[in-house]
Amino acid sequence: MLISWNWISDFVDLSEIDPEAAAERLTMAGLEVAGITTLCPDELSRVISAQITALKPHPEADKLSLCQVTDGQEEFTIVCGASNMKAGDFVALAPLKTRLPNGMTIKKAKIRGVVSIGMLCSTAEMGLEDESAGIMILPEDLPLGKPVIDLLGLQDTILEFEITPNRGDCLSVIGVARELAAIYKRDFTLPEIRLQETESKSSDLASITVSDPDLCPRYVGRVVQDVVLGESPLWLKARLKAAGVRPISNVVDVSNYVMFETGQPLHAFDLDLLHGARIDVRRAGGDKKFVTLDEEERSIDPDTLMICDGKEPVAIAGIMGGLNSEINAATKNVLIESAFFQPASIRRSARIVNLGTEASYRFERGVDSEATGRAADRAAELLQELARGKVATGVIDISPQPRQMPEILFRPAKANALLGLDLNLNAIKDILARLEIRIVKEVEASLVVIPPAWRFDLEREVDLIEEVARLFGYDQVPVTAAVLTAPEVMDAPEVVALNQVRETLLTFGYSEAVNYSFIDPQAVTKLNFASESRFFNFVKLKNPISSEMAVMRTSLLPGLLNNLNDNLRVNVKNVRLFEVGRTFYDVAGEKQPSEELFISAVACGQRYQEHFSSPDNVVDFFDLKGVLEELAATLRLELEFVASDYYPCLIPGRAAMIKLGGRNVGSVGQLHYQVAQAYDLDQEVFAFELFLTHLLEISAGISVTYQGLARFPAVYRDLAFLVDSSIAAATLLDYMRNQHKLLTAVEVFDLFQGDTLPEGKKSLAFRLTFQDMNKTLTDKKVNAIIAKMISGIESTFQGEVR
Amino acid sequence: MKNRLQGLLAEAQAAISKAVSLDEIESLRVDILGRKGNLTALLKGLADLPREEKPVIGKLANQIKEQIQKALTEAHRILDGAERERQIISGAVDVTLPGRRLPRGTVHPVTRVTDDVCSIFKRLGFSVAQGPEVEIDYYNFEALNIPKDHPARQMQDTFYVSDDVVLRTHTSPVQVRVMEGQEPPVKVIAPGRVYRCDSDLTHTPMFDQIEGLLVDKQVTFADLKGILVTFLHAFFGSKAGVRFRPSYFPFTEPSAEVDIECVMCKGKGCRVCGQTGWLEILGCGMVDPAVYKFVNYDPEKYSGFAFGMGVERLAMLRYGIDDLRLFFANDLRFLKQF
Repeated sequence: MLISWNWISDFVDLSEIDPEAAAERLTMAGLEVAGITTLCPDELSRVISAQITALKPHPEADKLSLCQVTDGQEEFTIVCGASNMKAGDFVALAPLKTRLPNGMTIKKAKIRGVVSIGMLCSTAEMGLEDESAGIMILPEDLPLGKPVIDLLGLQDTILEFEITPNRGDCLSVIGVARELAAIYKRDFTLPEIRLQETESKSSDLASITVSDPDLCPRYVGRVVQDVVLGESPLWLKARLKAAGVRPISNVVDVSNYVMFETGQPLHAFDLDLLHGARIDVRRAGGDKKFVTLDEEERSIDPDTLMICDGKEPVAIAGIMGGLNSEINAATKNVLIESAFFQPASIRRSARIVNLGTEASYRFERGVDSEATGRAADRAAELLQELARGKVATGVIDISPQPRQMPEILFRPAKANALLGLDLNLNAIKDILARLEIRIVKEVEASLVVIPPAWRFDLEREVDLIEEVARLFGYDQVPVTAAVLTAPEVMDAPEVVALNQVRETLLTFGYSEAVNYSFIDPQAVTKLNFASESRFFNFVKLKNPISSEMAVMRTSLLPGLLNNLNDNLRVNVKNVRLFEVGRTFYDVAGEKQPSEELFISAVACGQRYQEHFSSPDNVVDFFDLKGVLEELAATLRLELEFVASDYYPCLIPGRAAMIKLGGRNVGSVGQLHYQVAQAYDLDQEVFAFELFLTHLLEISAGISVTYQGLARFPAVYRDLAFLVDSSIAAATLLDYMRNQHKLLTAVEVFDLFQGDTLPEGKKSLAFRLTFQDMNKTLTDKKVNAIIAKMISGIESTFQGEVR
Repeated sequence: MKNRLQGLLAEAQAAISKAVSLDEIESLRVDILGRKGNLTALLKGLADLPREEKPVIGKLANQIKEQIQKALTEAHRILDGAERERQIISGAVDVTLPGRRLPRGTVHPVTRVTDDVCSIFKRLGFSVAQGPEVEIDYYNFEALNIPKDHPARQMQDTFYVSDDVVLRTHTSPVQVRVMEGQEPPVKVIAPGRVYRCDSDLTHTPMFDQIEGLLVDKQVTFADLKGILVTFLHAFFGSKAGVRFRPSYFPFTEPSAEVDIECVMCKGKGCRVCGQTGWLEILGCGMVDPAVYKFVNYDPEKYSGFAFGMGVERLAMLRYGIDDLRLFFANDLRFLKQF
């Protein structure tokens, strides 16, 4: 909201207050000033008052004149294309080198053989009006050689406010003036309104009823007759411009002007267009469509509050007038509406109609129900002054349900306790008085107060406590350390484990990505998941930003694959990314979806950082599996890897399902070529996705217990078997690990296939560790175990020892 | 015999002195002192000597053996040193070549800042709480004193899943969930992802917030200032100016915005702070009694405060990042910098 500094000074004495300092004080009192500008650019001060001493036609051009102009010191000859001036007129002279708001810089110029020094400006050229006919003619007898904008009082400081929703009362010049008066302890005064009322009475010229008083507690109408439509004067245009509004015509400008001044939105009806010259305020009922004055057809619902005439709706109450009763070039008689509509009703209407206006913005936040009459009078006064309107006597004031201001119990001791202050009663009373909060009773150490009608945010004691803090100054409140009864401080175990999980990924070279939680449902289709799988149990947004962000993600892979692609495009070749984030699944019969934490990763390119001594080494399945194994070790879990096409986006035979205690917890493998293509990737890409919530829960329950170190030497033996290629290493490992309790570890250390080996066979070499915790093992004992194992593998797997 | 022994010694010494490699020394040792060596062969003749000569020649033979051994050892020592010297020279590396590094990833700046903020508050006795991202209207709005049609709902463009379910627009619903679940004292910090239906240069539809809540007996606005000043000084590592100015949130009263002296220009005024010298950094206030009503806390008995801050904003200020969208682009050239 933009507010003119000059305008504020109509209501409070601002002498010796610097606007910058005032902006700071206002900000610190809760009315945030986001910027300060001047209405006219400083450069415009170079345009000075001057007088035409002589005028004659240009010898070489019919449409040009030669003006002899004085600024009181010097005389200039200026070639001018306008024709609205005469000798003796006071004009606005832009001397050489002046840069005008439209970007034009005045230069010495020879026009049809005559040298012109400077320019006589129009109001449009000075940026004061959008259009102008001819040059600006100033009032007579002004001092010469002085800045025109200062002489006319057109220069102004504009404060840009960001008003919080609770302070609807500050959405006006008067509201800000009241705050400044309270802050600076100065008087706030409302100038007297002078009306010359005619013989006719408003109540004879129009009739008003309110059929739905619950939504319209007060409605004031005033009639002004015989208005002459025209342009507003420059001072009013300047103030509207300062408020950021384009002047239209005097009648329309007046209703805008009064709204910005008082905060009370007005509407001006063409009285002659109102059927039966009457107004009824009621719910729309059967009407479904209404054309507003911006020529849009709007849908309304039965509960939308409408202003109707004797026949039909003529305005959506508090939002916008109708095309059918709009002020127009033929308007003579005006009915001014100044009403108090129920804020909640207007908020509702604005939502239904899907239209927000300066009026609805104020009504939604609440307008001063005791100032409706004054606002109507003020508009009448201005119409009388600016549009030669004849003001009919009296107002039609329908006040079926006057707003009752609450009586609030206020305990200064409670205020001090909540704020950490020690203010005495007088200091508190002074603050309340400055805010025009009336004390109606004083009982022992408590006060009973009534806030002023313009405040909609003061309903409870705590609201008044904030007022005290605000005017006392938040910066005056001391900074203390809370004395607390110690709460139990414990993070959820998942929080701790999650940090370890991240750390593990980092050590493997994976950087953390963060993607939006919403995805394109197509992205899941591209991953080939079966349509009945849980990956399609989407949580859909009703109002997504775009179709690419229409549903909540059920997998982290779409985001990461896109990231991988983006990185390859900017020539980052070796990509390793992971993400920890929530996935969301609609659950039938539940309001809220299930949210599950996933960790996923993608990788492509070289395994090692480029180094002159490192071989080229491309990432493969076992790099990702290694990460997962280390992750499992970190979480003290044992993951199982089973060849599976659980994730159909991975290549069969190069993909594993990950299991924990028999439960699926994710998948790892190489991205299927088709899927890669769908994601625009032309590389071998590896990925895993792990359902972390379950893992973290299980891990949280596991504690570490120290295992005693062996005091007797272990025996190590290597064994290799030739087996069918189809036999999984894990099958043999499981078999061997269960052979004897002294066999404490079995690891695969070599795999060999092809070449000299028979077709369909592979050689797997194992390192066996035997350990007896109580004595030194003998070769004989170990040999016996091995012999039994070999024969077992030969018979069970048709393996052949090598 | 004596002469032959003397001769052997001379020959051996000559040969040893000519030897240039450790291998030669080794073969000389074998040739002379080995089982089939010259000295061994010569000593076999000792048995045939007359009895009286035996001790003399025997002693001499031992002396000669020792001398040869000594010469061999000495020659070995010298040659070994030379050999090592050669190895050292030939094995020299260019120490200016790059080292071999294991790849290491980086944590996302949002995670890093979240962790830092949380750890400061943990030191102040707060614990970490969490809540759902897809939230019921009641927790996101209603119980935070934001009824339907409240103007504050317009401050937050909400993503709707259904009429009653939204993507949480702030982390504040966690406050309500925590208070519902326990009696005071409450002292929690709640980091998390939040969503608003807004996407332009300075807004992303998803971002991260950290919420704080403290409720106990006799907690004051002055205490709120105390905690937040302590936090801001710890986070920015300076005693930068902090100011509290009145603001409005439906779930706190009194409410405040907290500004810190601009970290870029030290309060002088620059582009980042819009020439004001101040940066808006978080919102806070004393928990509104209306909220206590929803969770059945007695506002006459307890008081407390809540605060919330945007993580991306903190990260942007700390690292001088000027484009919000970089946080979600996941460009490794960006991520690797943190």
